[in-house]
Amino acid sequence: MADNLLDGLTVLDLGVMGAGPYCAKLMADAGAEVIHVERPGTGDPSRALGPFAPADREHRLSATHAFLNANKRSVTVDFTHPDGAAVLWDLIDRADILVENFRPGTLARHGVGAEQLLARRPALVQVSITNYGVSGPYRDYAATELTLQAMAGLLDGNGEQDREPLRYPGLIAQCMAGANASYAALVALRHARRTGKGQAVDVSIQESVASTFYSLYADYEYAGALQARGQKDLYHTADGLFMARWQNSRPWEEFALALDAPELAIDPALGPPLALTQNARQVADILDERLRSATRREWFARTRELSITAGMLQTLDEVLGCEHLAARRWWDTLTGPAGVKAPFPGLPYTVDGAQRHIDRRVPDLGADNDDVYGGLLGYAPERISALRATGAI
Amino acid sequence: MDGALQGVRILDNGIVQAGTFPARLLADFGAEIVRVENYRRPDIARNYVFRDGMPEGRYWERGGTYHEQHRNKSHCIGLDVARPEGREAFLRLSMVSDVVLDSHPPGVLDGLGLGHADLRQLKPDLIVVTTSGYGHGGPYSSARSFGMMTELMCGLSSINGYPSEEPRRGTLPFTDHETVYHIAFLILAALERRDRTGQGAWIDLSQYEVGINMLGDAYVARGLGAEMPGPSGNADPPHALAGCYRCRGSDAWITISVGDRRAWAALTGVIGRPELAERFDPCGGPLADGAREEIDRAIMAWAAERTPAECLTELQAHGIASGAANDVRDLLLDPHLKERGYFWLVEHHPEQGGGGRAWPGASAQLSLTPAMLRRHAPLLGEHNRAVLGDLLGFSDTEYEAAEASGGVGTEPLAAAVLPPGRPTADRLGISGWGFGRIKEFDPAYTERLTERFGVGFGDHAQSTHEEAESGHGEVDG
Repeated sequence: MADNLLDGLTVLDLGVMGAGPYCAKLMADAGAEVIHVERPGTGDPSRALGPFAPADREHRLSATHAFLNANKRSVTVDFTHPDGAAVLWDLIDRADILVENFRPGTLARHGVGAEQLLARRPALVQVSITNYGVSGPYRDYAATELTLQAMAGLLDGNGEQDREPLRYPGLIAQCMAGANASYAALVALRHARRTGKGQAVDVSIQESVASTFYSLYADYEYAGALQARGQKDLYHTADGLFMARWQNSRPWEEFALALDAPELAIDPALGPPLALTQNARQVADILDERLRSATRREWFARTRELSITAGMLQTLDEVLGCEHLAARRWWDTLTGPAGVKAPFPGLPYTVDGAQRHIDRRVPDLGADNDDVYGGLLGYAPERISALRATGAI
Repeated sequence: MDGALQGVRILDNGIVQAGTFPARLLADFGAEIVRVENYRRPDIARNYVFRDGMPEGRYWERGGTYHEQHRNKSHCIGLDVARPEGREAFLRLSMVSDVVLDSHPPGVLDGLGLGHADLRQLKPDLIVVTTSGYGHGGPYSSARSFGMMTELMCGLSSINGYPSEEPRRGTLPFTDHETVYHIAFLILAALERRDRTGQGAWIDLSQYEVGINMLGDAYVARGLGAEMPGPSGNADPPHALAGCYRCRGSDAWITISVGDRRAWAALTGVIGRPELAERFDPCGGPLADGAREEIDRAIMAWAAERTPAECLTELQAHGIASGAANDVRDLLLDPHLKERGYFWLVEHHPEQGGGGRAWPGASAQLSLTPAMLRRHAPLLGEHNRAVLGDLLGFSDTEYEAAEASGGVGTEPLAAAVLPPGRPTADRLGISGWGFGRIKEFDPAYTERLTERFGVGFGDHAQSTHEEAESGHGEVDG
């Protein structure tokens, strides 16, 4: 059995909601030991977020929380309590990486700021994910997934130009920031391994998203052009929407014939370059009509065979039943309370040709308190009981 | 100053975005990148964007996107790996690299005897990272795909759109943007294991599966049997009241998200309608028919008289979650990002002209080993002789033979064929196909950006262009 990529790495996840937990999730999935530190009583707010199964009337298993935090260990610490702060420091002593996404300055107010951390643990990599970074005039702005997507430039590209721009679904901005933070953390870890020097890593959700708009900046900076919102090159089929795009490495005629639109191959005005510029709308209208003769899956089979760049708009249920993912045995299985089972997204990569499959289980709040405090930290049972009694854990 | 990743060498054989941008992210922190391109058919990302949208001359060296994606990459060699000398150069370079990054469709390199198995047989501790739409293996593996296709496939678009309308996709190739960070993470994770165990690795990433993971909460919910809504507009769960409202100005919008009664009371105060807080309680469960419309009308009336920046300042002064719907111009000129030093002015290669342009700098700020701008993007094949000769040990005779056979080169086959101008075609108000429609041309863009970034912005060596631009400036006033 090969080693997992991050075996032996210990990550302290002080994250809440999306960004911090997604960062630590990527590390857990790669083999790191991740200890999710939650507030006693309520825990990570994503535990209450849902969505919940219809039968789960007590709201015991939030899908959002489950996705982000399965297979982490859950401990509870109230670090605003002096005894809790001591516990947190003991945990920090065992960590290679600390990930947090509280509002800027929160940890520093409780004596766990960057300077204190580096004074005690010079090699620690300390990752702070915040809405707008730990500096600058928007540092303390109130934000949600919607307002962050807006400020980062995502909304501007989604929707119709003459209507209001649209939020993308899910917690996408937060997850992108988490992924960005996971890479930045390993940059700092590599430096710490070599030199013994840790550092603070400042990740802004806004900047994480805005860093990836490669061609949009160019449009404006080279030509003063701002792209419009709007949906392009999606065609109706017999059963839903489909997209196909010609690549100039292949003959245009091949593309036209593959999509049952021979007139595109015959009339030069409907071929490149005019098909891509002045007559693009006309070409799109022809394809939109032609593709109605077959289903998305039929078109996708044909374009795959002919190496034409294409894709079909799939529903969540279609993805859950996807033949490709089934053939790859991709889904993990989540086991919830009362033995409920559900498919769980697998790792989006293989290592040495094999996907690491994980038996997905979601820790109850504080489920690992005894194990971590008794085992990892070596606290005596009486000390753990005392901490419980004071509410520190 | 050395970066955190000094001593890491990456053979970057990626194309377009998802496959090559991760190398740029690592280059920003000091990794040494040797970019390898098929010089006969260079990366299509070189085909946009040109000054005023017009490709000209050696256009493949002048595209703006190329400058962002390849800044800080120290070397570029142009190879034809279908020829023995080109293949030999690729092999030898792999042998002196820590990582090989590739995003050609599964099977392309394997078919040339340069696949992960071939390379790792020769160098077991090599890390080979491949990325594609659907990964190696499985019925869709051979499907040709861009990020916009995997975005449709992964389910995102099916729940994206205006409420009760047909699902839609946005204009970005979305899964590309998500994938780049995952790949950068995996490269470093594989290096971590190599340093710990001596093992190399073949990491194979599927963009489709990254996309599904980015919606992992929805999939777990659906798998548990929860009913999932279709397109839900700007709903922002768990916040009870969320929306996007038109402001004063062209395509100007503010988003507001209210999650509790305190914020609701504050919002009604800010918009001058405190009585709404007495009449409606959006945080207390479903509103009566027509209530949401009345609330929205009140917010719209308030927002319509203010710019997004004015709305934002007022709302934030009362702690109400809110954000302007920025476009890239807004981002480039944003005072917060300016204070953060977020944008860097990146020069084109001096031989190409084009001057400096502003690009997002570090995607994360490291306190001790910050990302730095080290150099401009290399030219196609600029380092053929340096890399093959000095690094790979080709003798002069061998190098000349490689050049003569076409195993290495610098001139694309299609050098005479210009790609279509990107925004110029759209300037006529026509919907481009592969290219975005344009909502606005800003004739004063050079002035605005020069004011923001200083005289280093733009191509001040091009006098005719300068005159044209200053003419625009007068009109703008």
